[in-house]
Amino acid sequence: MIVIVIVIAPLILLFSSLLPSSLLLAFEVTHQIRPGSVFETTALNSACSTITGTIFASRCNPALFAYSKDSEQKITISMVGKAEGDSIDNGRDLIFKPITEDTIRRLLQERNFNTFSFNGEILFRNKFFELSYSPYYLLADLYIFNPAFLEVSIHLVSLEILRVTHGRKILTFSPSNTFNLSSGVSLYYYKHSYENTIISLYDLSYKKAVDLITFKTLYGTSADIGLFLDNDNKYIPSLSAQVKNLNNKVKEGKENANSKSSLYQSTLFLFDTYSTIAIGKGVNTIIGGFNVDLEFPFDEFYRELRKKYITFGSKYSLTLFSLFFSISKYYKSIGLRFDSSNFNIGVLYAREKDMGDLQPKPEQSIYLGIDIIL
Amino acid sequence: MINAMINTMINILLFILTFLTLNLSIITTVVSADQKIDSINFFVQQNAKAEEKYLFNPYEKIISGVAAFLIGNVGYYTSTSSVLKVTYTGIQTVGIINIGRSIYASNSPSLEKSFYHLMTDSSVDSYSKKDLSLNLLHIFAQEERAKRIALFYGSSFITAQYAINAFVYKSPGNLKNIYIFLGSVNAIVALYSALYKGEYEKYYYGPSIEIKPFITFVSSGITLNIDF
Repeated sequence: MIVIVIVIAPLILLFSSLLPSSLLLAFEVTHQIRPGSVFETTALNSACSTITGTIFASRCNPALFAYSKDSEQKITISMVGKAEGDSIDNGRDLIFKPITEDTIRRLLQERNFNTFSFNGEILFRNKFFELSYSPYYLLADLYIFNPAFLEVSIHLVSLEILRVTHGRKILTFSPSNTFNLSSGVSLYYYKHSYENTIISLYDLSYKKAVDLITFKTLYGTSADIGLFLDNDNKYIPSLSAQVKNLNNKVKEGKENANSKSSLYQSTLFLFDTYSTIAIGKGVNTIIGGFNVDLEFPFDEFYRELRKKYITFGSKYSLTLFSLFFSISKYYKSIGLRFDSSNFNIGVLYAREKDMGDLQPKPEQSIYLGIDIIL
Repeated sequence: MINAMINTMINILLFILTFLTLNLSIITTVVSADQKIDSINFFVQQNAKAEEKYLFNPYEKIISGVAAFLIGNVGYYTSTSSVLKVTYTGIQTVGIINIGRSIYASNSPSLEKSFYHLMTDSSVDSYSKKDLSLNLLHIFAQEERAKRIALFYGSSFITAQYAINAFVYKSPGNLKNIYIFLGSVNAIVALYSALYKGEYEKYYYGPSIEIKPFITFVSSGITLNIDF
């Protein structure tokens, strides 16, 4: 299987390099916690499009809904958030507390990049569809560009999503081994409240602190579409292809991309339309289950391969215990999850560079995830 | 002549109706007879094809529970923040709960499997009321005992763990008080589980105090029993 990965991966790289390159944004930020994330997808850094048979598989790829093992109706409350990190306190204060002059002054004195992210949702699933409501996807990114002049780029997001997911096997064919093709779609309605701005010490001299940050709101509908090709051969890998955030109107930061200042933040793989191709394989042994996944992300509709964000994810699991590992150029993480019949708890240790090459050294973070299954 | 023809036609019609009625009664009788047989076969077939939840190996629940317990303790000892300490307490608790559930699973009976053995025992044609009531009594007694033993060991381990968290590891003051409170509550639950038996358990096994976790592992036809 490893030989096949080594053969296929360069072909994908070669094919994508022939496509025209998109406009390169000066200041892109991404996060491990994405809209719709649960602990498992965070721990694998979304490199999970080919990992079937888990409760949250459809979060990675809606086509995996067809492989849901458990046909009982379930209600699950799921939360994942950054609990510890070098910059956690500032982000939490901006989201949950009133913004005061003291808060702004403290921000301007702190280290360069501060970030906080959190996702919480309620999920109902049966064998026909999955319905989820996420009242809070929270994001707070702060970046100090010039300590001498003290300008801070602030990006705050509060996202509310109502999502319905369905997937099914659409084709089975058996040239020599049996291949199953499944497809899935996830439709969602969002309310996106955000502020993406720059503040400086000079602004404090003539404006009130609370007026420096004013939220704007966007409403809309969007969709994720996925395909998954599985087989019963232990050497041939599974393949998946997805397009995420179709018809999403959120383009914050991109409207400022051509401005003279490159200080505005632009998010990547969070709200923008992007696509992925993944190859992976899973095997069950007497000592546990092993899954590996290699994810290739593209801009928009397979426009340009974002090579620096190619991610490898792996998972080892027993019925009640899972170990996750993911690695990419900017993210390295290892996570543990412990399950019981009604309660799952997970801890994830990560070294991350949300700003990519612009971030001089990685931030050490700890994420916590809790699932309550009713 | 016409009358003869009419009579012939009536006879033919009567013959056809009789033929159909006879066949219908035969079919009905056959179906009824099949239903009487099918209820036993139906139960046996359903039991045979009942899906067992997939397990990688028979020890994995215990392994997962012990791993959670150990990792929870190592993580708690090495963490400095309250948030992480609470998280690792959660992990310790999940591990202990899973150990308790494993003890329950190895002691609890299965009503379906018990009746499956009764239905498929070829040496017995029928059972008396007394046989059936004794069988049911055994099942209820085993179930009560399994719950009591699992609760006893789960609560005992939690009491011990929270005592270690409060008095051995360095815990913040407010967390320490919470551990002492929760540990005390679990100690009362453990004591109650050790001393109080349900009615079915008392009748079948006797009133004496008994707290053996009778763990049974079945693999490839070899049965390993561990008594503590």
